[in-house]
Amino acid sequence: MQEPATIRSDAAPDAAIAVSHLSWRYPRSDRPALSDISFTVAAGSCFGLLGPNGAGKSTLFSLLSGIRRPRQGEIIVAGLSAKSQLRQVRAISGLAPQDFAFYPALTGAENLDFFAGAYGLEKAAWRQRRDEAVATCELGDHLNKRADAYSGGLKRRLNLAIALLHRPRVLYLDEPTVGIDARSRRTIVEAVAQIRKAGTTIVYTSHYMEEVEALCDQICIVNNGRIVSQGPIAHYQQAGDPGRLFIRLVTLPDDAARAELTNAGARWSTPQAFDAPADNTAVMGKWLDTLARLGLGAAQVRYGESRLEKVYIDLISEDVADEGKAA
Amino acid sequence: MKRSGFLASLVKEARLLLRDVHGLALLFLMPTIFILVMSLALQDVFAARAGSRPASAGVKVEISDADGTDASRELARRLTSLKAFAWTTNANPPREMLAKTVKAGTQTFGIVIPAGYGKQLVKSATGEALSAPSEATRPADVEVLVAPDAEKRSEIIFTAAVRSLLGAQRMDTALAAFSQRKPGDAAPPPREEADPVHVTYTYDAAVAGASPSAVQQNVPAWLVFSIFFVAVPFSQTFIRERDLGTQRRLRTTNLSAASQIFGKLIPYYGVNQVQIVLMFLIGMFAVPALGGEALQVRGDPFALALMGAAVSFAALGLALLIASIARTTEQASMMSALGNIILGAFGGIMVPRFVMPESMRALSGFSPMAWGLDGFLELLLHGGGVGDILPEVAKLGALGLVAIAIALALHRRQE
Repeated sequence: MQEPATIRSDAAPDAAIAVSHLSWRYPRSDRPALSDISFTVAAGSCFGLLGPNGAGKSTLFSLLSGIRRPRQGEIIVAGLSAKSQLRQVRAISGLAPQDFAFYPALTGAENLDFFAGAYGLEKAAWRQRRDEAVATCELGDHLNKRADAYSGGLKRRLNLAIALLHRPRVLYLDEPTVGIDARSRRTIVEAVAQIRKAGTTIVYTSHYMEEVEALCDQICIVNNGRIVSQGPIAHYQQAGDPGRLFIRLVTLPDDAARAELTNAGARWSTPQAFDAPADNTAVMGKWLDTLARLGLGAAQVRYGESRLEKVYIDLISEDVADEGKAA
Repeated sequence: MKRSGFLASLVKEARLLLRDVHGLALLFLMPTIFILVMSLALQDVFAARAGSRPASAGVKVEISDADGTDASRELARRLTSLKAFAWTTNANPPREMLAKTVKAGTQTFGIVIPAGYGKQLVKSATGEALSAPSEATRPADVEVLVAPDAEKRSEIIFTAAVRSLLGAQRMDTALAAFSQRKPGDAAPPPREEADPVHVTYTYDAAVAGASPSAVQQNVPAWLVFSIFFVAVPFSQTFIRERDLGTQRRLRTTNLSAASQIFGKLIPYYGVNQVQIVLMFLIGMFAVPALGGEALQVRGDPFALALMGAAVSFAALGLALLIASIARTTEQASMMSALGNIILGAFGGIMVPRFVMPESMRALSGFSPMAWGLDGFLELLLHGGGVGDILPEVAKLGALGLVAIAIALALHRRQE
């Protein structure tokens, strides 16, 4: 295979990350973990990296964040080559891995203290950096407790705070909200939005599509080590079937009201909840007017959340089918 | 000025270590219990079998003849005719030099024939008037010097043989004198016979004449074992970091492998030094409080510290190597715990080497625990100095260096 030309750091001047023809194969593995991956991430944007388990996301993360040095292809981070300037790339990158990558027997403060040393922060600045990270992740009241006494949500927040200590220009978040309660998820999603607003470029993986939709500007879907699709998030949100409006009622509708709603196109998922076609706001308004006329209150109204997930599942299924045919 | 990654690693590891109650219990309680139990349980055995030098290794004896008379030469001739012992002849060192040789373990026993032996023998046999009032209780004819690690059974057999030969020589002299008596000569006055053999242990005991005790043997043995046991918690810290993902995260920082490794090594090295002090204190105070004999710490203090450092260095090097090879905590525990028990078993920790067959004893020479034990015994039993433990220190240092070098190479390859 011909070695692809290395991207020069000025190839995409506004790109925080430029990945070019990146491939990776683990020793003694019969197939590559990554094949010819290329994408760019704009500075200050949030880039969603999606894919099923085993797709190659973790390998890509380990190459992007400096855990591994690329051998084939190139990664340029803020103009620095991950091949030849790995130390500098590490210095501007932060990683919040999926694991709770800290010491459970130490307190939150002691963990932050250790990683501040590991990052080699300036003595004069490190307290301020720690305070910023603690404030962003709302850890203030828990700093002096041992980390093994933290709830799942607090552990995720500590994991994120450690990655923020050295104010990275590029932040890699590997499923930062997996396995935690709704409140902690919201705290983390809000924290990530705040970090992004401050100008940090973020690469984000998650299996929660609503998080990806809320945070990311662009997404890249990988499967079997290859890019299946990539583009702006809006592209995926508009693709496929028209959107559907999901409504959960406060009370059970009577038979007449139920029949009228069914005739208008409602598909009932439970006796008290249905979804209905609505590809624009005017149609949405009509559905709400109908509910008001029938005297039915809406406990929950959602629109479009399932759109990205559906597109994602369709793309992965197509890719799996293509692989099957090729085989 | 930047915060030091090495210092951060060191503080982190010290905190983790202090909070690892089970690990600390393993490192301090286990040897304490072993020392107390084994010292008390084996004190009678050691009283009967003082040293670790097996009789089958050859009982070496040298004679210091300060008398130089026909009688002393005849005694030496009779002694050297005992073929059960390996005699060093012709050197005739002065008593002090012979004592040093025996103390160092070069000779198992030394025999000192004092000046005036021949004269005393004749007086004793003929019943001549004693020349000085102090001779009323008659000093011992010869002095037997005993090496600190001499086997007690050998000592008993050897001193009995010496007594027998002394008695025979006195009898021959008396018979010769009797045959020259004239009728009417007065018979020599009856006299209380004192033990003609005075035994001196070349062991610097607090109580003169005391032989090396069980505690003197057990403290260094279990101390070396516990120092090596540091491999169990130490190797697990690496595996735990791998499992937690902190090692992966640390690779996104620029913290060097050396800072990470030495940040871990130093707190554990500190633990080893605390172990040494604690085990010595237990031997000195706890064992006698429970009815055993007290450990007597002797030898050059600097040499003791050097020996402790060398054992610790080798143990930590091996632990690091295990941590680099093992993939899971189970593997690390198995390799370090089982490995230590095996090294201890044939290194003379659990089973004294003097009860081992020749082939096993040869094998034990390859155990780093045996090197550590030999070094400590050299200091504690023989009161040696730095020069006496250099071979052991060199072997342990080389092992530590090789193990650390391989571990670092594996670490780099894994990166």
